[in-house]
Amino acid sequence: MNILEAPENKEAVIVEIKKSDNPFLRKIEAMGLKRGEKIKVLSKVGRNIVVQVEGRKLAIDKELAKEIEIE
Amino acid sequence: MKEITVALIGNPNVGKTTLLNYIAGTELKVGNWPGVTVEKKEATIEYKGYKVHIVDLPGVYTLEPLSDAELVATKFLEEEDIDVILDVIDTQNFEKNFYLTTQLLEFEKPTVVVLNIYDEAERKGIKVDIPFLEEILNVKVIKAVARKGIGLDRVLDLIIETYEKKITPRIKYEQKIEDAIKELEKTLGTKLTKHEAINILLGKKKTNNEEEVKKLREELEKFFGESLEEIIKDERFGFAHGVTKEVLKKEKEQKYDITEILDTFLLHPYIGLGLYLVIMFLIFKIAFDFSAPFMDWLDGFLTGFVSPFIVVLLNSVGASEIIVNFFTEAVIGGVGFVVTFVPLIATLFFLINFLEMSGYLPRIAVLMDRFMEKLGLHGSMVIPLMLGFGCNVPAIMATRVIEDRRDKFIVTMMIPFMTCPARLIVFAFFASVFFDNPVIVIMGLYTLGIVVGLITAYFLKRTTFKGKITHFAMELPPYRLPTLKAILSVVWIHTKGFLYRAGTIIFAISIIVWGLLNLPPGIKDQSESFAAKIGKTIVPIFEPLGIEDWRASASLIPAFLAREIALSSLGTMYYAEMEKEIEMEEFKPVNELKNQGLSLLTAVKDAFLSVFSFKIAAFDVAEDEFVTLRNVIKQHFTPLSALSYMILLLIYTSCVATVAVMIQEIGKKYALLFLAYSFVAAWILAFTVYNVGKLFV
Ligand SMILES: Nc1nc2c(ncn2[C@@H]2O[C@H](COP(=O)(O)OP(=O)(O)OP(=O)(O)O)[C@@H](O)[C@H]2O)c(=O)[nH]1
Ligand SMILES: [Mg+2]
Repeated sequence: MNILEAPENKEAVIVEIKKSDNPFLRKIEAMGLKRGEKIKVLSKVGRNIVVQVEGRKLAIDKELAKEIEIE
Repeated sequence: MKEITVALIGNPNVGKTTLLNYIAGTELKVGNWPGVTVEKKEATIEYKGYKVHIVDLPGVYTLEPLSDAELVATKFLEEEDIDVILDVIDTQNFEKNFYLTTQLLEFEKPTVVVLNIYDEAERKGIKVDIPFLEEILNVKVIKAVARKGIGLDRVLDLIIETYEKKITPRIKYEQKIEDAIKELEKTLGTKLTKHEAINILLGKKKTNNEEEVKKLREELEKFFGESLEEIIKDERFGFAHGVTKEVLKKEKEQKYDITEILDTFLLHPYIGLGLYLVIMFLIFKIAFDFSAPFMDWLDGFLTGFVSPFIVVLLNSVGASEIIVNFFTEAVIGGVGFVVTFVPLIATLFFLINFLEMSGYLPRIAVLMDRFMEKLGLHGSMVIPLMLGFGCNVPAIMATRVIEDRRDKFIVTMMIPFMTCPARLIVFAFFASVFFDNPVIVIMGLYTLGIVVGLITAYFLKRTTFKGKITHFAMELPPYRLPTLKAILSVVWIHTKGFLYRAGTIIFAISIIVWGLLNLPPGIKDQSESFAAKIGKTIVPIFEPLGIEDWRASASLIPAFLAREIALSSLGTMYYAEMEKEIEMEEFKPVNELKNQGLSLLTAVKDAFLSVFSFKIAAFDVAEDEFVTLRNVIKQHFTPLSALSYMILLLIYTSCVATVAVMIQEIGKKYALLFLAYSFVAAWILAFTVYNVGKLFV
């Protein structure tokens, strides 16, 4: 499933970033949302989704979130 | 003297600018959100016989720029002649930051790594083995708390040492890649840095032997079974991960985190929105209530002490009437009048800076996204808009972080409608003179500005600037309680700037206005002066808005330089009239000074007490017995025409600095078009409000 479908406050692991030719997704990877990373969805506010990764808290839009597969 | 150029680079919001401010004594803008620095800023330090140029760059996550600000950083790295790289890392985020560090190491330039924000990392139980890190990478590493200046005394020494000894980093990737690079160097017959080699292999940089490059690339892709882009990315992530595992220990898990607790409420879709409104209201309330007693005191001090004192003094040395008039009208009436608003400006900057340093701005971006979506914009664009309440100029600069040119354009055109402190002091004056409930009026004007901004954006997005929304990704930094010292120093920078303007441009304008008011020589009445002539010429434009007095229309001309000049010019012109109406009372300087001292104490007490009451009490004060400027101005405006005057100054971009920065950022054509638009919009709004209002009073 992708991050958008993840339940809030449950840990999950990123397995794949789709469409990595999108420069925005590459930026997000550099920010910390990349394969193998443990994440937790903190909240969904409107178009945004707030995600906790080790040491960082990120807000990304849902369109981007759809491209991030977790498990 | 030897010169060293240092690139100060790192992820956003890691304390690069804080570090530079500390070691170079600069006063560059710092704030707790990613994207504070949007241009390159250089500071030069002379140290031990070297001239060290440190260039502060906008923060980046990768070397692949998406916004103008990011482009500044990557371009500087690629194109300038850099001697040393000063890489700042947020230690609590070591591995994530190290992805960029890895790419910086590829440049194989002398590098100094600063493990900053070490205080917060330590609180999370993070420890870095610095000697080992230095050994693996062959770079110099220091730990630091830039905010407190801890650990920074060695930075310059290390920069010089790495530079002199040419200590260049060691970075090793998968053997297969290393081999390919060697092969490439052989074919091209030159030594390459890892950065250059990778760029050639990726096709970002062309050579005269593309055949061979392509072959090498294909070989690698076949071996790893992925595209070279993926391979390189994985290598870099892998390297960052490997280094982190070697040098970083995390000893304890933090039990609770203040950021988590605060965000539970502040980022909550509904509670958060409510709290946002409460916070905005509080800022408003404190700004007014805390500053009002001081402003009243300053006002009284000026009219009750400084002005008569100067008159007495000048009379005693036998100065002519014209000199006396000059001092009371141009200096006290013009400059002094504007200076009485310093408490309001200082308090407002204190609060705005507190907000900027707290880490709350990115949360506002997330919360406001719902509403920005309706305009086809993104929540993050709220940040430049919020900055607009501090000053429109840096706010427009801040749009450089917006990736999409179209969106940048639209946000730039919204910012001038955000009420800045210069406009606020005009509002504060007029609203308190003409309305029983000045705070409501001022809040109404703020809202009107925002609404006009929103309508403008809506209109632009529907017509010229159609297009789909770009993506959004933003780091939410931890909340940080700023130190009082840091905030006060920023408040001082702004207050100093304001006073400086008062002493230079506002003073100069006051002299000119005063001159025009008293010329041609020998006039008996102001209404025969040049100023009156000029004012009367443009009165027809403003008459439909209820602004009939020539002084009021004349004041709008110099106001184009800066909006507070509207007030100083009015002050100069009306002060002249005022004096002829009042007789100087008997004045005893010593007694008066004592009175002023006592009333200052009362003002301090009032200021602190008023902050703790629930309602906004500012401007509730009863009229004093003096004939002040307020009373004089009151005779020349009606509440409605005052409102109309304020709307004009709110909407019309009458600030030359804002227009200049717009020209720089979006081009002359659009900036001037916008100026015309803002004038027309201002006129129509003022006209409507005035004429509709007239039906009711
Ligand atoms: N706790 C702590 N906070 C720090 C330290 N250094 C800087 N900060 C805070 O980190 C925030 C960001 O500081 P800046 O200097 O603006 O960061 P920057 O790297 O220049 O950011 P950009 O210009 O946006 O790339 C501010 O709120 C600083 O007060 C530190 O050593 N410890
Ligand atoms: Mg900065």
